[in-house]
Amino acid sequence: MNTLILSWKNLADRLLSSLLSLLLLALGVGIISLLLLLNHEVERQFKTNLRGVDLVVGAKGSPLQVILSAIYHIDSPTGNIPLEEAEKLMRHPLIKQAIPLSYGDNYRGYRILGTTLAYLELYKGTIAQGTPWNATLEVVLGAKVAQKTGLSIGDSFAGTHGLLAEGMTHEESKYIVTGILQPNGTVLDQLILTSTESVWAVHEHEEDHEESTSEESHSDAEHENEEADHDDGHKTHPQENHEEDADEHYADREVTSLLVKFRNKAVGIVTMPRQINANTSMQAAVPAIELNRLFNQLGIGTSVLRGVAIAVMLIAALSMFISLYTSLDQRRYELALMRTLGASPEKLASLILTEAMLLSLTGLIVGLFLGHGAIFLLSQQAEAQYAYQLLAFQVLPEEALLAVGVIGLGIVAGLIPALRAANTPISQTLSNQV
Amino acid sequence: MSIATHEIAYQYPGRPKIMFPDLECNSRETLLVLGTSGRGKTTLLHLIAGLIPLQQGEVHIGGYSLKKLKGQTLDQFRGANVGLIFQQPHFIRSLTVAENLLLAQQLAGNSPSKKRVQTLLGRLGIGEYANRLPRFLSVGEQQRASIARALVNQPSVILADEPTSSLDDQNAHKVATLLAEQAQLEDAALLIVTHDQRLVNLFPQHLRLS
Repeated sequence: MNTLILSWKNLADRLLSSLLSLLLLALGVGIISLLLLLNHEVERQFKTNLRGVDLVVGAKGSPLQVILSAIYHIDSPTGNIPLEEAEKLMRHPLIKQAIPLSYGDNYRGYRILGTTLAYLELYKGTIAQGTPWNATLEVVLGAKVAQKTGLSIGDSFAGTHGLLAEGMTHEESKYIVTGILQPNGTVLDQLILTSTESVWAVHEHEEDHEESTSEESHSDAEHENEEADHDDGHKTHPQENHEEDADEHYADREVTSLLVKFRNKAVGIVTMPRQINANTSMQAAVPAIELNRLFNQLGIGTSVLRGVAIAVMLIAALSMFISLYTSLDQRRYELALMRTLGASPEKLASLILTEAMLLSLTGLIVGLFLGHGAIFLLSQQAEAQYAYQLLAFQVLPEEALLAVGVIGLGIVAGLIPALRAANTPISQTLSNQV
Repeated sequence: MSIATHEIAYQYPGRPKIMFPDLECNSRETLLVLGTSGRGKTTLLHLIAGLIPLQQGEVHIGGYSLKKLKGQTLDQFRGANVGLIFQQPHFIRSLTVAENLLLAQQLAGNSPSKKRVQTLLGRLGIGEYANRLPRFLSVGEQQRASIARALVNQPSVILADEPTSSLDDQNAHKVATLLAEQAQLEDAALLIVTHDQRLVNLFPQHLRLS
């Protein structure tokens, strides 16, 4: 019958009040651990996918939206930029590399991205089966896309217009799968990659179709505004004959955005964004700045939640204190009895402190389980919705700090009751004078 | 001499000083200390048990002078050499009867012995309740369990404070005889302070506080 077992039995004997303290503590710990993990995972996801991209160039609009869509593929693009302007920029002496991205369609919610093979290199994508795309309408599937859609090499499919899974399909121009990528934990996993020309080809065809059925009658201005998820700027020149050669250069060709790396980052970051924003119809967004802004904005929400969690934990400590303190009234005979049986005052103090520590440790463990469990559930949802994976079962260094804090709270909550227990007046208690 | 007191007196703040007559009690003997309420019966018992510090006089337990024991040494000494029985039986409510006895062994610095505990509970006729929580026992059974606990460390002295006053006639008689029998079996000196007239006829040695 050591102190630990006795403490445990005493806690179990006051089941309800022990449970209340425990749950409050677990709730506080759970929320904080959830926030820590979420913060850590979101930053990790954002950082792994940044890949040294110094600048993203897209259509005018929210710079954050440009970043989110072009790098993380979670928001709609702001629109398209003329290929002519993009190519001028790509030849700029300060720019080491600029990878064009073109959006237009999706297949069952997975985005079909027109780009160059440099994009694969940027994310260190390796082909698991088959070959990279070569001709127009050939695609390479991200590992997750292949797994979820069940498409394999040689299969063909029709893309759905826009970025939402429900919509008009391009039945006339079917894509054909030539390769499948190895899973590598980056955005590649959730993308269908093809050449920029494929995206153009599909939409030229599409346009002919639309023209013949006269379904749309947009003015140019309307196009500009609604192109958030439609790569349909090319409709402004319906007279052209598109079906002959998709690779041919047209002055009105467009891409959605450019991922830019500078030769000299320091100089590039200072001069280029201003130059682009002032002199072109394009918009330059610096990922580092936009992400900091995003994290700061998220930070307001998390700091409120963190404050709530800390308040809950303090209330838990208070409830623990009250529970222990009032239990001393009920247990005053017990404590006096233990003294008569040979227990020293220190022994009684350590008994009460052990009860506080046991409660806080159990609260800590339950809370950590809650936090990590919640991340696990969230991860499954995030995977289904955004194809992002969150690691639920890892221990962060901040959590060690949290553990120390919780144990400290336990000691503080138990200290006064422990001192009171140690000072139990034996004789007066036993002769009912107290 | 297992218990011997010499000219002890005690004064609570703002109250007249209580002078206690000297008393002696050998092992295997029972001494009944009688007195009506307010005569300081419990005070005397607590002084002998070392639960309140001596102001005056001297108490010897099994040859040791209580005055010379302090702090943790006194706690340990009391745990090992003095068995206490109270008017109301008190237990650790979260522990079973047997666990309460095992804890008493440990707190006195002895190694816990389940065998000893079970034997004692058997001898007091409550062996079958060993694994129950004390609060589910009747008052008579609880008082027997507290006798078992007082005996578990084979103390040289057993001090009982009104052990029968909360019991009916039948139980009071049974508990008192059991207590004396068991104290004798364990070679302990038994001191009972009481105002319970039912016990007067059971024990020949009396000391009256006046």
